[in-house]
Amino acid sequence: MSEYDLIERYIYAVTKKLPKRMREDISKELYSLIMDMLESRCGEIKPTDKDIRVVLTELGTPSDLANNYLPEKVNYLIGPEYYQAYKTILLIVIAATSFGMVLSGCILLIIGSDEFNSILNFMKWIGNTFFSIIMVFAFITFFFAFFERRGIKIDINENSLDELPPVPSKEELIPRSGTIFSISFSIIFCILFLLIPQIFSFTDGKIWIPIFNVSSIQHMWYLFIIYMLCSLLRDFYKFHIGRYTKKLAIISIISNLLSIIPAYLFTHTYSLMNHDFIIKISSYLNTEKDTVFILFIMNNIPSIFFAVIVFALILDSVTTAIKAYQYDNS
Amino acid sequence: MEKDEIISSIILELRRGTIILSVLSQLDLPVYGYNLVTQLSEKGISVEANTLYPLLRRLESQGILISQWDTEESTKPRKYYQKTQFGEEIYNIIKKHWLDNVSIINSLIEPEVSL
Repeated sequence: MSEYDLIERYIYAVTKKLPKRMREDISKELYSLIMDMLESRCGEIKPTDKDIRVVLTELGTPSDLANNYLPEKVNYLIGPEYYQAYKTILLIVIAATSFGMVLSGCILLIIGSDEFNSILNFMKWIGNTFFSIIMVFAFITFFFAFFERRGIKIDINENSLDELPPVPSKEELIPRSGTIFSISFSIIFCILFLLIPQIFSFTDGKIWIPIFNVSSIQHMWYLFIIYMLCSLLRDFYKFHIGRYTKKLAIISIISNLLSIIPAYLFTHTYSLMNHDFIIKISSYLNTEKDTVFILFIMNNIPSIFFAVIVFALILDSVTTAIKAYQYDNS
Repeated sequence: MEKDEIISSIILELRRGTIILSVLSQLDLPVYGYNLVTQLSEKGISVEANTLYPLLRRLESQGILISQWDTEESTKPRKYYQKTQFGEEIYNIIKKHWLDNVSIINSLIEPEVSL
């Protein structure tokens, strides 16, 4: 049936977009429909190429027709239920990332790092900026697509009227601006700390000595990222829910507990401090006693950092829990 | 232009729900898709084949219709659709709903006629 090649191509274009199990039956049915339409148009006369084109045009484009056959439930990557939250979070994160990248570029320029003294390095910085924006975009999209696919509800349960939360009082609300600030700050700090740990430097007026061990920080970037993700997920949920609830308290406590693991590994795996910095500091000290004391502090800085992080995490968990207990009576 | 667009979108909205009822009304006996298109259009209801064919399938998957391929009747094999027992029940309920609605809406839009 080579004269009906166009029809076969049309039917193939429709059915290739449909689930496999429907294909054969639908192609047979469409074929007989098109034959019927041609017959009613041409009667006994053999349909011309033009007749076939008219009939196929009448049926609509193959993708429109295929869409009509697909089940009612539209396949969204990110459906209307999540789209608003997706858009807002994307905006905040991309804005913060771009700002952090520009800031890191400016700082490198000011402290005259060799990163910026060639066109090649400048191009590399542009590439990194572009890459990080693409990466956060992909990450957030993936995250929301996962929610969409699994049908995870991020909203309050609206099925039962009794479960609607009471109108929050002012103290009960978590100011959005505060959460946005905290998210942006985390992202910008993350970028600066990972990309240019040497900006945390000490100067004696002549040379800059990085406080941290730049190469070990860059080795452990993934631990830092995991830590940041835990706190970002907590902040995103906080931003979304906008008030102190028991669920927020639970999510905060879980994410804070989880962050302790990367925080411990980060501070204890490699030496975090720059050895040159410790030597430089001790060279300023006159008495033996001071030197011993400073060296003791320096050598224990990872543990001190870790203790401070744990303290901050506990503080956050406890205050969130108290406020949730105070305000959430459901 | 804008007025026409508004009108046609409202008419489309009105029609959308009535197609199923029109289709079900014609399927006491087995009918194949294209025959149904012509049958309905002769009676003044125009339904495009590209809407009707997918609709028939959807109704079949809901158990309202049952289908069967007839390969004997002519050289062309055709798929015939017919209401099931379940489909008949659904149809009667929807029909009653429609009739009630029509009389209510008529009394709304033309109060003096219905009084």
